[in-house]
Amino acid sequence: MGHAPKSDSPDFLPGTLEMLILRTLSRGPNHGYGIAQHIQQSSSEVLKIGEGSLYPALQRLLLNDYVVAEWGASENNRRARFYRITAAGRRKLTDEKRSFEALIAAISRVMEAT
Amino acid sequence: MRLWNRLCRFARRRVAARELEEELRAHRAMAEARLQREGLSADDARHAAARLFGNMTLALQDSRAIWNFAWLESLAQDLRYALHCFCKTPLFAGTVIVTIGLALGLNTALFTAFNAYVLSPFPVQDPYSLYEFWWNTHTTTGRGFSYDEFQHVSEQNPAFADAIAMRRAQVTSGKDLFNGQLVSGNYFSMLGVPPELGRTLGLSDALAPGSNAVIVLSHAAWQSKFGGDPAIIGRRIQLQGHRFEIVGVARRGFTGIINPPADFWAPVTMCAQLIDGPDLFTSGIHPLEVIGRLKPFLTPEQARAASLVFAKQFTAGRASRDQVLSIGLESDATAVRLDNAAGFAPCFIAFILVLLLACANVANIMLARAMARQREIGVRLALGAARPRLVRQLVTEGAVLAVPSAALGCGIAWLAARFGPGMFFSIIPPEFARRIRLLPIELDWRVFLFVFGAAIAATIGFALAPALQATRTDLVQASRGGSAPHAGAGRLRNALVVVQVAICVLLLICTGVLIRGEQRVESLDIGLQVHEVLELDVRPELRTKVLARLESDPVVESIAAVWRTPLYGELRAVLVSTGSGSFAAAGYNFVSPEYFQVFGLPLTRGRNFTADEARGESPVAIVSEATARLFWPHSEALGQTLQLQSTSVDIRADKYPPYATARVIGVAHDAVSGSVVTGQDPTCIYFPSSAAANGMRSFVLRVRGNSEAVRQSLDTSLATRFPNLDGHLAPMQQVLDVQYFPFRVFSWISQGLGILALLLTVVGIYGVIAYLVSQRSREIGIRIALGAGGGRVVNLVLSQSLKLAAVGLVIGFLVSLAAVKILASLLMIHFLDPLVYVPAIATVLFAAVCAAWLPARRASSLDPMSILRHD
Repeated sequence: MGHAPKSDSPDFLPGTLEMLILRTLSRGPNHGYGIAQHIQQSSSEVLKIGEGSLYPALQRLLLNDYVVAEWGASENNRRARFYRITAAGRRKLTDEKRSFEALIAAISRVMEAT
Repeated sequence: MRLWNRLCRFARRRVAARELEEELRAHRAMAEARLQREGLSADDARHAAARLFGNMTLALQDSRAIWNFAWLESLAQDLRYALHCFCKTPLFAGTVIVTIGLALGLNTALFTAFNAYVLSPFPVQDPYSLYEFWWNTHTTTGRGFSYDEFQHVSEQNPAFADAIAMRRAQVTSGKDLFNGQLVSGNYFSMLGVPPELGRTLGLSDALAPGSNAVIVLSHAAWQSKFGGDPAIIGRRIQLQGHRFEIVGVARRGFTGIINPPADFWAPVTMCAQLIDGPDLFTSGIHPLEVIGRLKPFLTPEQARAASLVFAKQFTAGRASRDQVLSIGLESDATAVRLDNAAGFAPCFIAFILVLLLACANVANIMLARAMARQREIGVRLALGAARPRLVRQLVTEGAVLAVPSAALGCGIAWLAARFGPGMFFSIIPPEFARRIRLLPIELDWRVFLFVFGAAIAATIGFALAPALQATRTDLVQASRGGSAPHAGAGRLRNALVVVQVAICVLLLICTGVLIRGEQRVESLDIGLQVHEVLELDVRPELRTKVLARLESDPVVESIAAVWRTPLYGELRAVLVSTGSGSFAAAGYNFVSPEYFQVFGLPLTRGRNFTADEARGESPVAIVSEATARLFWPHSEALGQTLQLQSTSVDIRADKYPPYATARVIGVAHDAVSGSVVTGQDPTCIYFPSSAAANGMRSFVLRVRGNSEAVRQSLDTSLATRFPNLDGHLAPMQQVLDVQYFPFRVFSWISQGLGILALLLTVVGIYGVIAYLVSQRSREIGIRIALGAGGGRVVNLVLSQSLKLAAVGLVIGFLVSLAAVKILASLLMIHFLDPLVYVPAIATVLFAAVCAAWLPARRASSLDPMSILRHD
């Protein structure tokens, strides 16, 4: 019972952030900052992810075994925690992507209908 | 999987929290570094990074929250909050704890006794494979076994791996009474009971009749009768005038596997020395109780089938009336089998009703509190608190109160287990206290489980309903701070009061039944003058000497010998016929001619036995008037002939009329010589006998003057004159008191419960009416302002209370009719006895008026001006 902590940024559709993180990690392991940077850059600076949404989302993914984390060294030799997508994570990503695309298509059809 | 991850994470939550923090710091440092690379100063970069990423603490908290057991957190919160609240209102918390604790304590105490007798198994090896075995033949049910039969059963019954035989014996040792069990030699080894001291009995102790005068004491008897003397082994004591050597003390807590608990065990081969009457090994009597250990992997049904086949084959060659028709094979793991424990049901129902009453009371208090907090609750709901969350908080508050209540309940049960038996023994007539043994009563896990369950049920009862009610609040009204009468809450409170009144009436009516039953029993004309009568059991070889000694004493007015002293329970039965050919069971006894004089029992017609008839046990009989009416409704009983069936129908009897016909020579006044429960004997036939005859084990004597002083001086002189006379003089009045005792006890218990119920109900009604008055103070103020007098206001409030009471009364009355019907038939009082109902109903109505009186007075003295100004 109780409330689910409100961690999704209001700009995102629920669950989208997790999908973006999984997509980012499907290119290879990365740390939190790297994930945020990648999303920001590849969205042409449109999607800016704050710590307040990124880390809760990462914890949720950890909890569900979609990703695993281990400590390593970053490019400039700083201790950082690297996240790696799991097989379950990949399956989840495929599912999410499919339903997301269906959703976008549906929304577009609504928006373009006259 | 998620739960597992959560648990792992929970186990290392501190490390995880530190890691998360480090991770976030690293994140921020990387952002700073990048901003610096883009050309910002160190300070600017830090601020920019902070702006970009926002509140780090919140991010940490939110991230952590993903893993947390949210409900656990909030539970801890609720607990803290509840404790805080109750510390601020200790009176309220105390009231609830005492009310619920008391009711839980009563129930737990009852359960503790129930547990000791019905649930907890005997402390022996594998108690659940022990089964009691008996036979039913054409003429007897529940037939026991002769020694010879036992040996065959033990060896040949295919259902049993092993079997033991037992016989109870209450024996005297000087002035003391011992409850003994005569057991077969394999008793201790089959039950797996080791000695605490010395040794137990073995096969070699019970080889031949009369062999081995040794006994093993129970731990309790060793403690209570011998002060736990460590040098007890080897000591000799006199039992029934024979010397027995104490060879061991059984393991603590073991008191045998049949009731009553044993003080000692002796080899079954010592039967003749310890028990009067026909000899076990020569006369073919069958008094042994047999308990066997079922073979492994045998279901009770299979064992029954196998035993029946065995028993039928075994008795196939006997006369048809001795052939086995059916057998009994029932578990003997506990003192009372669950299916025989129906006697506990009415007690449990009454006690649970009291618990319900207490819960209703507390629910009412809780509801009043919740209503008073309506504003707080309303604000929290308005701020978005979920209703389930609030309900949970209120129920948690209830649970916080239930824990100390349960502890109090356990405490009460412990006190009851510790001191209850002592109190019990102090209120029963002393002559019988020494005959009675109780099972050790202990608080074990079953009792704690019971308290736990009852406390949870109580919490749900008293906390859930008010919580549901209180959170169903009208947001707008609550945030306005209004507390207008709440229809739903009002209905709930009224319903609670109605339930209380109904339970209270029900309990009071049942109390009425029990009091009436006790009155009926105690006012029953028993027909025997027991006041100055004493009784004494004497062993055969001493009888004539003791009789001569007592007859010569001037304080003894008259003395009679009797087979069974009256008022020791149901009469033994013999089959008689008046000549028509059909036989009917009738109660009988053997008495010497002085019997009628000792008990002041007049002969209404005919004559008494002569001394010659008594000595010769002549075939004559005196019948009670009821017997005469039953057998010869249209003719004179005197001179008629009774035909007697030679075989016994009553296994408890050890003396039968040795003739086939007896002539009726007298008719005696009716009397209660069996049990007061059944009232005057429906049939009673007296046969003549004398002190010298076989089986005439008791004397009854009427003395002159103060019977207690006479009893003591006679006792002392008998003891000096006959040093090996066991037993002592007991007043018949006490024998009668023992019969009244259960009625008195149940009457006391129900009176106690009734008073408790009444108190709780008065408090409940008071609470509700006081609340109603405070709610309606504005309306009442206006009425007063408009000229309503004090009397009218009082009437208004009182009628409110009486209305609730009336509804409860009707419900309680209707429910009680069913209960009364059962109780009344048990106690033999009339089912519609007005003295049962009228006092109960009047008491409750009076209580309803009293409870409402104070709030009503307060209402009538309200100052209308101050109330109207206040709003």
